[in-house]
Amino acid sequence: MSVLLECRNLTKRFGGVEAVSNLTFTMGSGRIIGLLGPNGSGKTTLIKMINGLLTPTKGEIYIMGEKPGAATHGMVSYLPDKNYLNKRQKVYQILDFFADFYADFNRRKAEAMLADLQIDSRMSLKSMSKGTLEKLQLILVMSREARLYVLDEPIAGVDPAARDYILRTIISNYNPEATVLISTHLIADIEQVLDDVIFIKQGRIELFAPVDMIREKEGRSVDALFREVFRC
Amino acid sequence: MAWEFKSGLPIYQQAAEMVQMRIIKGSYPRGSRLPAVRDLAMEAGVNPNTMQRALLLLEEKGIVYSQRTAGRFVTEDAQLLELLKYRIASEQVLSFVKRMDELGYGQDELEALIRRVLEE
Amino acid sequence: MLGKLFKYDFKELGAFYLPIYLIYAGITAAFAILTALAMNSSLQDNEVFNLLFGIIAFVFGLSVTAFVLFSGLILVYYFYRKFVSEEAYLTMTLPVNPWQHVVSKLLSGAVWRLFTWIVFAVSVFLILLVTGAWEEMRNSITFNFVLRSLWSELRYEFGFSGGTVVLCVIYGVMTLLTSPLVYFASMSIGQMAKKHKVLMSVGAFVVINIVISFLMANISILQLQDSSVFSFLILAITECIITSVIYFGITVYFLGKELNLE
Repeated sequence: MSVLLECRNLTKRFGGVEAVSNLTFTMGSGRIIGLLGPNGSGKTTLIKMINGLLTPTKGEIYIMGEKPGAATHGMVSYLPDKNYLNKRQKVYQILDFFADFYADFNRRKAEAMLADLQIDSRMSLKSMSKGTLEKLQLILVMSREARLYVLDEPIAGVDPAARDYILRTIISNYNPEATVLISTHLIADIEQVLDDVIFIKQGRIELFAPVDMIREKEGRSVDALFREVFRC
Repeated sequence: MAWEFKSGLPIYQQAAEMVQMRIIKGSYPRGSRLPAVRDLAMEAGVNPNTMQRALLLLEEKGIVYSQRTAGRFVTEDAQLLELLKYRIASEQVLSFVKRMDELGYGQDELEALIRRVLEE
Repeated sequence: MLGKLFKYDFKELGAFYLPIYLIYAGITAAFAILTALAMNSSLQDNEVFNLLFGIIAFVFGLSVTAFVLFSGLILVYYFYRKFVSEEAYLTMTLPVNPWQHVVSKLLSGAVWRLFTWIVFAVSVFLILLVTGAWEEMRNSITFNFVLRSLWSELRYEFGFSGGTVVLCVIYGVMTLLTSPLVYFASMSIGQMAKKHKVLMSVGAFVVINIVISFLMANISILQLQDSSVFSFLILAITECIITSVIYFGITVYFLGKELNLE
């Protein structure tokens, strides 16, 4: 299990507030990892730093030995919690765009997934509902054969059928060389898909352990443990 | 049989039990090849690593075996499967008897009750 | 990667510029039609007709002014969309270095603005041609005289020569390429703000301008040696190079090292 992602003393301060405090951890390949924590716990901040969208106040991040930048963007497939697509285009144009820029983009896979979810590639993004746009973004992100997938709240806004499809996609996409990091606060829904969980609370890692180890040791689900750790 | 997981137990153990159940029921016949790990994982909606671990557990018990290139197969050993079936059945009966005992049924009463229910 | 970026930037910017060209074409056509109508009818001295001409000429003037302003603004808006708005989540996670992004935007922007000037010139020429004004100008003695004396004045009074013309062209091309950089630099600083990114960009713009003009006024090599056009152009080009390098450096640094997408 080689090291895919490494964070050393990673800190991000906004004004006087530490959104992420002194995180040090590594992630290997071939894992599906849940990044769990309530809103405002620092999940998105961490994810943005991994993708180079926020500059750490202190500490370092290495992805396959490289700091976030053009080289790591080619290896990391990122689903933000925002709609980041230019809506003045059609689906096939955005496929062209991804194929042009990401060497690891598998167009056939994207087209198959579009067909599964009944999204016509001649459709204009402007005419899409918010849910369809989210699905399209997920398809684009999962159609890359990346080393690290970073999905920020992929199941928060979608209907149960789409959620199942997303989880199935993550499973079927499994690759021992790649790792998937999924942030969410809906643990019960995805617990059985995860290898490991990271509990993040006020910018610090509370727990980083395999799901089955937690179940074995605690005799209860990760969801139940989460509810206790983060009880208000 | 749907793949539903209880919260208290490790998922791989539950997945192993479910696969084992299918083998005993004959859904995966003796000597037949099991579906690929990824397909099983997809069907169950669990992580492929978890399903892999579940199958390794069954391998340790000798219920399945893997051939390096051809995949994973259900054991040919009919006796082992019979034994397994017997053990699971007796576990079920035991827990049933225990509960009946809690309700205050003695052995004779219980036997009579079972016979009557079965005849209906 | 630069080529691919250019392709997409060029295409996307085209969506802003093409409508402008359509408007130019429409106005030119309107002039042509009106003139044709006026020629072969008794409407020539009709007041309504003259009024119409006046209105179209006014609209043309207005739209030209607007486009001159806009064609710069388009690039500012485009930069904002790509690097500051939510689209930045995609732009900044492409496997592309910040300098490539900036160069591609500058190049594609320059090409479109050059096209705009060409289309504008062609359109003015066509209007002059169809309305007969071109013929009049060519035959007018005064006009030719003014042109000739203007050129000789440039030549003898200001020392214009082949070399200065070349410098003029160089300076023009450089300005076309680099004039958006000061806005890019301001916005790349502005994006660091937690909330008021646009406000911070405006603030950065003001500060940058003050600092740069202070520098330009106080560095001795940036002072005019004599009053010839040649040395003025050399100075202008030197200034353009220095400021562009500074602005480019600021933009690339802040986009690369201080990105703050909240």
